[in-house]
Amino acid sequence: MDLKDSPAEAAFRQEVRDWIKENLPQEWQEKGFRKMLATDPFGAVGFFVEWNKRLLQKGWLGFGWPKEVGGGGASPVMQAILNEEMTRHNAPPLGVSLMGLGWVGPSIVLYGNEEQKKHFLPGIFNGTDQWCQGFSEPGAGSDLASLKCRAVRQGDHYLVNGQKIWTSIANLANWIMLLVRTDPSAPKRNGITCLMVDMTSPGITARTIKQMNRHEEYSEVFFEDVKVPVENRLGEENKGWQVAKATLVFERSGISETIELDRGLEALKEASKKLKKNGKPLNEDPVFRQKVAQTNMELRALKLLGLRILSKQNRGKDVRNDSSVTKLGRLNVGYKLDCLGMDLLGTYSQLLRGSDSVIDQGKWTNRFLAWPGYVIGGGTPHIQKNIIAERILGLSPDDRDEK
Amino acid sequence: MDFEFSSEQEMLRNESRKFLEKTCPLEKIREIMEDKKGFAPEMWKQVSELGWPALIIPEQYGGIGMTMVDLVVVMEEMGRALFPSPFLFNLMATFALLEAGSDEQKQKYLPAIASGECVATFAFAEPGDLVDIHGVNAEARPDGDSFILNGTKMFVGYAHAASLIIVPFRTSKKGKPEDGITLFLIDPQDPGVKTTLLKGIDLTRKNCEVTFTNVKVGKERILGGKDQGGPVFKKILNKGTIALCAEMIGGAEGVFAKTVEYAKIREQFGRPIGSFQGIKHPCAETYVEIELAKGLTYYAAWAFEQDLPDVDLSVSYAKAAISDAFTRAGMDSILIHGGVGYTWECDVHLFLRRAKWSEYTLGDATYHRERIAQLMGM
Repeated sequence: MDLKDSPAEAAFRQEVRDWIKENLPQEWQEKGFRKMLATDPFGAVGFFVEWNKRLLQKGWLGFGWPKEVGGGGASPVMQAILNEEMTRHNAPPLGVSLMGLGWVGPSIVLYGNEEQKKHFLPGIFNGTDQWCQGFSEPGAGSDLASLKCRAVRQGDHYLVNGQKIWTSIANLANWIMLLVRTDPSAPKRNGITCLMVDMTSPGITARTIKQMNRHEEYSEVFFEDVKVPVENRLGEENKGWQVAKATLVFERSGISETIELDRGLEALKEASKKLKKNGKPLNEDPVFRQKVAQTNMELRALKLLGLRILSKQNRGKDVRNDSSVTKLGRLNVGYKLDCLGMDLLGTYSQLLRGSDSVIDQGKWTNRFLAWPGYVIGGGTPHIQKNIIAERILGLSPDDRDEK
Repeated sequence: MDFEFSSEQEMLRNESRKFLEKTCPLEKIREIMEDKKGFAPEMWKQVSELGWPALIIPEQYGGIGMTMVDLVVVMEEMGRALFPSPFLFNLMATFALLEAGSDEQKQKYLPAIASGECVATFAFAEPGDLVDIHGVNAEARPDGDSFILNGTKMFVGYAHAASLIIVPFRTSKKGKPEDGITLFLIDPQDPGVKTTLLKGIDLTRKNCEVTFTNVKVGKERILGGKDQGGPVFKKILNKGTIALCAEMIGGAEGVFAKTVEYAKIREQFGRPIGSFQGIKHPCAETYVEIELAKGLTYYAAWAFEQDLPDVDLSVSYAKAAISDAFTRAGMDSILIHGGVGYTWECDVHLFLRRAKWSEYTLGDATYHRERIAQLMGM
């Protein structure tokens, strides 16, 4: 056990810091990409493209992917150092093709054939392709394997009909990683296939969903006689469930960042010194102090759990189910933090951005209202608990329909 | 960066676990519970042969010279087995001797502790439920070259079986609370020392009330210098808390393993109760809570080993986390066992009892959360 960086890790960490200093404009380093995006969206997007180019040149896109496919071949710990330093120094996300790099790409690396890797990975590296993920359906949420979107093989292509829902950035993406039913007579997990579908294909329409917080980050996607070439199938026919499971693990792992939460807590602590309740600063209220300390402790625990899992992974051990543990931990502590933010503001927490008298532009209220979206995406807490209970603890599945 | 235990530590864990499973099964523990000593001397001899009391004692004093992280591994296994012994208190006394003892004092006591001959304990609490230096009110009044000791110490583990008690007394009321504390080496046979065995919730460990009535001791009994005991005491509280946290993790995992095992075999409504989400979900939650507490405890031990500045904070994180988690694991276990879980014969209540004792000892979650708030600059 040694939680310090090894000499090689320390050297790499320094390299990343130096590189960011040289390559990320001063204003970005100070304000962070979210603020830059909010103040000058057009300029910011332009810089994202440039940033992607520089990362690609440096070899830091797909840093953990094998070298044969153009990745960096880096160990999990090195990848974590890169991510950590980038986040800590306010850098924009690692690459433009977010979902492509985050979980579609890794799935292609794992399950794609040589032609597919050659065909799809460059667009993810260059940022010219944006990917979205067509998994959930109106009738297939937690019970994802019951999906009904139908694909029928017709010679050299599949004909797809059906609907997907909760598809992030479907309105921006030009490719979708799609789960379809190819064998309705087989048990539900054995009749699913994964297809990579061009979003400009005739017969596809996407419509954004207005969320409870008025944002529109997700879409419904409709497929009507959409032709998909057979060579765009990822993995074997009717073996798509394995691909989906791997993808969902990549997705859950990606959500386990704690630096943002640390910053939230720090802001909360400072704000509590200035805000008064019942005539004294809130940070002197014993109950509030207890809650902040508890949240801080959980946050620290989550960070250390992440490091334990990373070490395990670095030693080549199986960490697939651990992503459910970190996801659950993160959601719990994230919710506590948001609730504390609301507590902090008290009755002022009802004020939204743009209102008179609003504090901090309604930041905490926005976070609170956005929380359910983060929780449900990638599997509800209830589903994560099922995964932990069944796959880690070995409790038997209940009598839910597994056919 | 590597947050895994070494292969030597894994070996130490396996050997400790195997030994306790064989030598100290729950039937044996139930016998020990009924005995006033609260531990089995022959078992203490065996673990001494294995080197447990010697673990953190340097080789020059007859020890093995292992680290806090090694210690955590063994403590976890003791907790898992519900091992009834003076180990934790003996350990805190060892910390004190190592930290503040003169070479002569170390030579006198450490080899005897390492070999298991001398059982030592540390008196860290007083009436009034104050867990830190503020709670040291027992008084040592200078009397020529000697001191006259008066006061009461509470919950002194295994004082009735110890041949050495290390006791903090207040020797000065000037300055900050930690400024006027002096540690004394006390022989329970010293005239005026009275040890009364208490009847406690944790049946697998014994505590005493120790009173001092005009106990006269020479200045050679001072450990580490007059008025110098405060910082040492603080450090021992931290180290003892880490050891206790590790024991609690083992205990929580031990009782949780029983819960999961029972949920797999107990059938109701024609299927194992573990297949119901009403059982599964609390099990998953407990699992996550224990995993979270583990990282905090391991980090705190490592931070001590490395002498990092965030030791205080790390210790409080760990104790706050496992205090809640262990009690929950214990109570959930009884509820998931149902009626059988409430019987005397079912072992899970022994763990719940241990959990409640551990929760309040060396500061409960509320105490440590307040300390976290202070240390984070609230």
